[in-house]
Amino acid sequence: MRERFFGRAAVRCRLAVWMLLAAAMAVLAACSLRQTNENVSNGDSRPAVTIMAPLHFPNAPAADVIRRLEELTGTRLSIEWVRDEIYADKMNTALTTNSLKKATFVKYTDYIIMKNAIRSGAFWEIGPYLDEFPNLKRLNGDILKQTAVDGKLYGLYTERPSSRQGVILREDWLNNLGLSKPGTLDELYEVMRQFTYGDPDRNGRADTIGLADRDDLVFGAFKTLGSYFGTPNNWGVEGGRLVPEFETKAYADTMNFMRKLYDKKLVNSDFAVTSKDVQRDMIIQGKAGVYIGSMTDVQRLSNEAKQVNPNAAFTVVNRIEGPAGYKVWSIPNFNGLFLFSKSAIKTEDELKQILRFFDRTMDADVANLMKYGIEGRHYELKGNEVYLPEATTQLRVDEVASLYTLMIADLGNPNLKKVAEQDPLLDLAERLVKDNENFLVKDPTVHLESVTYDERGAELYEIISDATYNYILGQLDEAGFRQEAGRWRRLGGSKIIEEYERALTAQSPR
Amino acid sequence: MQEAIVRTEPAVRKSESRLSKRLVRNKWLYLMVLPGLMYFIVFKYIPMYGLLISFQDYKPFKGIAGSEWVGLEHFRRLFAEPDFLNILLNTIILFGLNLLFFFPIPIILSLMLNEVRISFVKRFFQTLIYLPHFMSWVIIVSISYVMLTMDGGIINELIAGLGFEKINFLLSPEWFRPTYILQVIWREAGWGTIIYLAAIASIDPQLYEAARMDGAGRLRQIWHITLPAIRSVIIVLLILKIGDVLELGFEHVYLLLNSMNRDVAEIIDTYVYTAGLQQMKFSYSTAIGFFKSLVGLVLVVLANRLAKKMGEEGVY
Repeated sequence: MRERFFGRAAVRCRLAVWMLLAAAMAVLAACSLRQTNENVSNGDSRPAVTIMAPLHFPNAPAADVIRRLEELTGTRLSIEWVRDEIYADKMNTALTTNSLKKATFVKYTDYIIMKNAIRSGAFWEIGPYLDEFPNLKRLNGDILKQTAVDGKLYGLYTERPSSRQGVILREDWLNNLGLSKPGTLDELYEVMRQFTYGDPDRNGRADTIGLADRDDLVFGAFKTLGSYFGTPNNWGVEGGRLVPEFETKAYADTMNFMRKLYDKKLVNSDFAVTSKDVQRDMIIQGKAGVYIGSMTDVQRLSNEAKQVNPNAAFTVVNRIEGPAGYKVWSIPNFNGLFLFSKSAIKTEDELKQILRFFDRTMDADVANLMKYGIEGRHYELKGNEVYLPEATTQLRVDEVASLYTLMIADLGNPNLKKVAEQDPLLDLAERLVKDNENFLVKDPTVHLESVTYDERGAELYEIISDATYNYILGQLDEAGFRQEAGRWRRLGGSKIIEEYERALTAQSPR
Repeated sequence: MQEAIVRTEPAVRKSESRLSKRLVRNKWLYLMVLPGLMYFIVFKYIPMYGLLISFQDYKPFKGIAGSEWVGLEHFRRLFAEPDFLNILLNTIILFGLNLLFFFPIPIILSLMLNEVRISFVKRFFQTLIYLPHFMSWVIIVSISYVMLTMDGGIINELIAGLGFEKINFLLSPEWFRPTYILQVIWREAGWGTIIYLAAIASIDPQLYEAARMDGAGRLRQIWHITLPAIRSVIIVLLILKIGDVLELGFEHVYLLLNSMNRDVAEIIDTYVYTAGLQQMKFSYSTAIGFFKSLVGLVLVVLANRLAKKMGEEGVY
């Protein structure tokens, strides 16, 4: 009876999927073993470099660009490009099935979950080797320290600006209403109010709102607004003690501000479940006039909005003054890391070959190829500066742009040529991104370790993000929010604070 | 055939020789069963070995052989989780609603379709109501989002146009369950009619003729002939459905889940995903999955026994 029962109904259970996965693991592990053997037995003397990296553009780089890269670096490249949206899943699967490439890109947001794998010895520690390579030994020690696990280095970082956060606005709407660019929180509120009720598009109908936001408390509007109010970046330090951001007054002020926007209908009512696509669409269609997030998004927003309404004009603002002056939160200075799998790289020599490849990518010839493409086809030289003709924009996107993911430490790389001139909006946005460096709010725990956070942080964060949304939407009052914060502490938050504080005092002996 | 194998166990010579004789005589038939049997062994039974990881502190890098054994630790953590009861309750309530509101609908639909006289119209509607089944949940949920949003969604515009207060369908916990059930009905009701229609088609038309002779009207015929004739099909499907008790469609619920409705919308599947898989806690996830299957197993056995008591065939 039992056997037959299993045969009929239970086999349909979800469990079966899990067990399939287990079987797949065995098969895949065997496959990957065979693959590495092939690489060795192949007659070619050039070392094989296998990489898994996310693809942010529709196309992988053109074959001849890759060939040029192989010639310059003296390697045989085999790069697995995985669409960015599914990259995290794919990476997890590769890790689970022991089929990682020699070098695997890990985004900094996924780094926490990789730490467990790192601690269990799945990756090479590369710290001791860096000094052997002319470019790698000049990597920024500060950033390397941020990437360390238990004080050891495992990855080569890709760099990006500390903070791209700012406010993107419809300039033509400002002009229609006779407003100037906002410089304080009150002015920003006034702009949103008039964008909603002042008929900024002059079509005689009340069909606009101020802010378009989405279901993201970090990269949406909330955290940036929080910075303007003076909220610390995840954690505040008060005399050697750590305070979680949501227990600060500034955080409460930010929630109240958002609540007011929601009550007065200055923000899209469904922002808590709005996707980024829908959010962008509201800006592009001219339904909303303020977008708070990455300022470099302005170029694509503006281009697409102009296709709907040729008169749409945009501008960018980064200095919004709050009670504590100018502030903006920053991310760790690395965007992601290349990790080197022990199952794919068997020997020290092999590891050095891979490191040599990455070292070479920082040299002038290779770095400029990776960033700008081939001279005469993708860009032209004007003196010593790179000129990127408008006519080749699409070509660059199709053939070169995706290679940027592979560039380690490009912002601090002096071998890269400067760009002569570019789109004025993007230029403005990039200047403001640089200006943000003047008033960054750093996360004091970036280089600290907490095992509890690595293990349960994401789960615990959910309590706070749920409570924050519920407060903004008026489903929770102040006491209710405090209660949730207490729940966070009880379920592991206190332990995280304890561990971070211990790490903090260990680092700054005073 | 499985019975035949079971019977070999008592090593009685007589029956053994009888069995081997039967094997030889029907060898081609047994050979034909082999691929199916292999399928179940390779894809269903062997992978069950992976269940072992729910008793381990599984590290992918070390594999099943190398990971540390932790006994029932993961199950202990699951039952100690403060939200666990709530999640289990949500799952069961959602399943109950599913059974109550969704299950009868394909039956009613197929009875109605069966009464349509013009066969072209019947087939047209049949095809039409199948269609949503082939849309993914992502599409169904996105379409609902566009219709239900407060920022210009049709339904809320309609409500506002009639002079009522707009309803926040997407963000309120009260509306999660109705939305879920309506979407399930929308997508699956038509598809569910297939088996019932097939069962109805196999009813002997003489029964209807005899009933008409006795003066039975349409409703009487449905009540006394059609429904009793498909009763056993309904019960088999019901038992199978109960086996899926905790199988509410991860994708669907996950798409509907948000910060505001988590209290009622978090079910076992979504919890496995957020608390387990996303943080690469494979052992914990497997333990939860294991527990879920056990609950399903118990329910099916009970339902089957009940069906048998009521004089029906059951699934085994």
